[in-house]
Amino acid sequence: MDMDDTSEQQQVAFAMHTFERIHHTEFQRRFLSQNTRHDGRAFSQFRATHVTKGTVSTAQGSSTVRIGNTTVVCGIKAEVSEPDVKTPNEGYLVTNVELSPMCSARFRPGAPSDEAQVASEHIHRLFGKAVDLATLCIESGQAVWSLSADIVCLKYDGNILDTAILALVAALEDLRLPEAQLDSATGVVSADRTIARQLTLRKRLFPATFALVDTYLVADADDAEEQLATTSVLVVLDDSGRLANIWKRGACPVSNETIHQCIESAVERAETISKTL
Amino acid sequence: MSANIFDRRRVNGPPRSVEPLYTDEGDVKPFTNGGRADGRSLDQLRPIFIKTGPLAVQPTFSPTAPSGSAYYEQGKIRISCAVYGPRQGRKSNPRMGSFDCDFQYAPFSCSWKRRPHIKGADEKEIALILEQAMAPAIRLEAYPKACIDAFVTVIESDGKFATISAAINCISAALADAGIELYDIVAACSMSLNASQWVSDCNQAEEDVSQCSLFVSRMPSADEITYLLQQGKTMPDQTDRAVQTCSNSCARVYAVLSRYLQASMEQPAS
Amino acid sequence: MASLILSPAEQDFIIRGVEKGFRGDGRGSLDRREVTLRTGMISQANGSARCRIGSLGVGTDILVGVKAEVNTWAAGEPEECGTIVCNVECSPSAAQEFEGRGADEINVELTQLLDRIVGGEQSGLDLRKLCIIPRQAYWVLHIDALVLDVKGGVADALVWATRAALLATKLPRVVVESVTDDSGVARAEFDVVDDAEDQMGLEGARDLPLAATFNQIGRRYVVDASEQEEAVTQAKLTVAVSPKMEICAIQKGGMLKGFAPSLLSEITQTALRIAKEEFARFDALFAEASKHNGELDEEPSTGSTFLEPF
Repeated sequence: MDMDDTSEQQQVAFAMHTFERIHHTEFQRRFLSQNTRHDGRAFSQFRATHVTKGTVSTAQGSSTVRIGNTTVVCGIKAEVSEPDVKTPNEGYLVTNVELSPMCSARFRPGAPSDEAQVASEHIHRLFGKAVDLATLCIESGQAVWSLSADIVCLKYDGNILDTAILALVAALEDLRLPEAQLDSATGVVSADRTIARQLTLRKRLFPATFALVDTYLVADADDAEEQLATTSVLVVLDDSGRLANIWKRGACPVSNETIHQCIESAVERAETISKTL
Repeated sequence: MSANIFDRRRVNGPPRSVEPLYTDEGDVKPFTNGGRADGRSLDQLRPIFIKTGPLAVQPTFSPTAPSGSAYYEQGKIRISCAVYGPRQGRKSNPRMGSFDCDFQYAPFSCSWKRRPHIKGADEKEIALILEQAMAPAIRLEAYPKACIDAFVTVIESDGKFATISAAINCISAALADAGIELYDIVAACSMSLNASQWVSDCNQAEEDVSQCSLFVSRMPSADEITYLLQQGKTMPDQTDRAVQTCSNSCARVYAVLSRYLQASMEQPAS
Repeated sequence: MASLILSPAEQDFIIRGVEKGFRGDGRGSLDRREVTLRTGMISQANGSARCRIGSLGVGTDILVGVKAEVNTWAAGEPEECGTIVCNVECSPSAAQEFEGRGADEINVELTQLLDRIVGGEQSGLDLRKLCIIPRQAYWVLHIDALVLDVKGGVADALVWATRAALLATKLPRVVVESVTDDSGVARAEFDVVDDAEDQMGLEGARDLPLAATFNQIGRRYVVDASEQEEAVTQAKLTVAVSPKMEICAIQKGGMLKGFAPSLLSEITQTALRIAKEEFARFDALFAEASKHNGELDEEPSTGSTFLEPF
């Protein structure tokens, strides 16, 4: 008992940053058990979110999104290609998330990390229904638009999925596709940038990620909390309030109540973001 | 049609895609009636903006955060750089530390075709150029067995030589932000030759019609030129004059860099 | 670059020697080593050359082959020009560190350098003459360089060998005729004449530049550094000069130091001064090499014709 007491006192005597480095979980628990978080937020509070559209002039559509310290730039380049034989009227929307060593020491240079691959794949599937690919058709069976959306992370502080999804929605809304015509004799597609149309999204998506740190459900976990989270739940709602996607990751089981809680918080979050977007 | 490399670790698009042929006028022609399209004078540089440290306001202590970072804008050029180090290096040289640079264009950063994710030869060469331009400024003897890594991502590019110069300025700011010991900050500036006149800090449209481009990176306090690259033909006296003018432009960029770094030091610690 | 590890005493010896104007092999600070040039040894290539810069039969050895191919024009490419594609590879036989992926960095560096000097209009080659039919077909010249041995001064040897290979390049003649098909549309078609005698050289090849690399050692600089001198080089500058005394490219190398601006202008002036002698020397060697082109074919019995009289 005595030894425990002295070790407790020794722990408290550490400088806060040192304590955080050595006892990550205990550090977070100290805050969570007091019903707050290490950066002062409430459990269901999201970090300050800023969305700016049209930030990259070399891309046909672009946006920069910041949630807390996590910063992401999304750029969409439109190119022309032949459609897939099975879907002659549909264009392509290809999304990729890039997590480079620049945003965090967690990522190594070279091939995309597991986290990047997972994020790319999930977002690609999520947006498969968000854009009506038939609107990308130039000439059925011969030429379609191929939109390459690249989401580059500049600073990583947790919750890349929310940031990336918001960035892609904003970039798609910012996208201006020039009017294109196919010259069937030469096979060349010409386009006039002065006549550009906006892309109509079938639905806008509003994401909200929740993490289970210890036994506490927190919204929008930052990097420190994310590393300790056992499970995370991503809830994506569309603008009509319906559930577009729900994704639970992690080894720990979650109760029904927790999922309901997440969905309710996600509805509130969707209302807040729809004003920002 | 140009082939897109299939990468099983990424989401892939169609196997071949190409930019459409744009029939509109596009951007305004670069040099009309002896003046520049954006109204600058021949030796006027584009406005520079630098932000060091985390992009957002709230500071968080994180072991995986870079030691120093900088976000740099010059006209439409946008570059972000993160510096890690000194940290344990792969090559362990007992006398000196090593400085490594990684450079990449974001896929949407160039005004022409989308760039593939796989690094091209020009990105690898620019990484080498950045290393050679910055290494003379770093006190590598102070960091034996350690390595300093700089990662540069170009979010938007506007003129190849101007982008390389901007990248050098960005790395300087990031290194200073990281507290790495430097002999001096390196400032760089580019010029292009158009109709026998040297024009400073050309954007992409201006560089495309120029017959020669060059950039100079300089340490003003030590009066040393750490890198010089010229591409295209000139008469020898033209090169001399260009290097002279470019060095003066570097001094102006240096003044801007110093002001921003000083301002960031004076702000409350973030 | 494959760099030697020299003892501090040896480094000091070289630096002080250069400052006093003495070099290890007795050359003056602006003297180039012995250059051996051979052309036409690769019969399948449209042009080839091998250049060795070094003394006593050992030196930086580069082999360059030029192959011409006909490409079909695609939208977005220049409409009335041909193109040049460069590629440089360092063979593992040159240095142990070039094994596997070890040579990647230096390959990229040299390829970009070569591309900067000869890869476009600035090379002096008339790219318009490489167009066969505008918006339809053009010649693309693939310049492939193989670095066989590295003993200092790779950039110079590379450009010398490339210039020789391009001067020796012969393109088959192309006959363009207008063909009217059934629907009355006139189209241009071309035919490549398959006659070894009926070939033409590259227009503008005489304007190709030569490069000289100036290595700063101590407070002085030297031309064509040997391996040992390169190991103590703080910074180097490669300057490419055309026969018309124009500067085609300048590139700095070296990680340790920068240049004082006054030294820079001095070096460019020196580059122009020695350019005349360099071109004269090159022309003499090239003329000699061209003479031997045909002779070797008549002596297949002498073994290792590739190496002799190298």
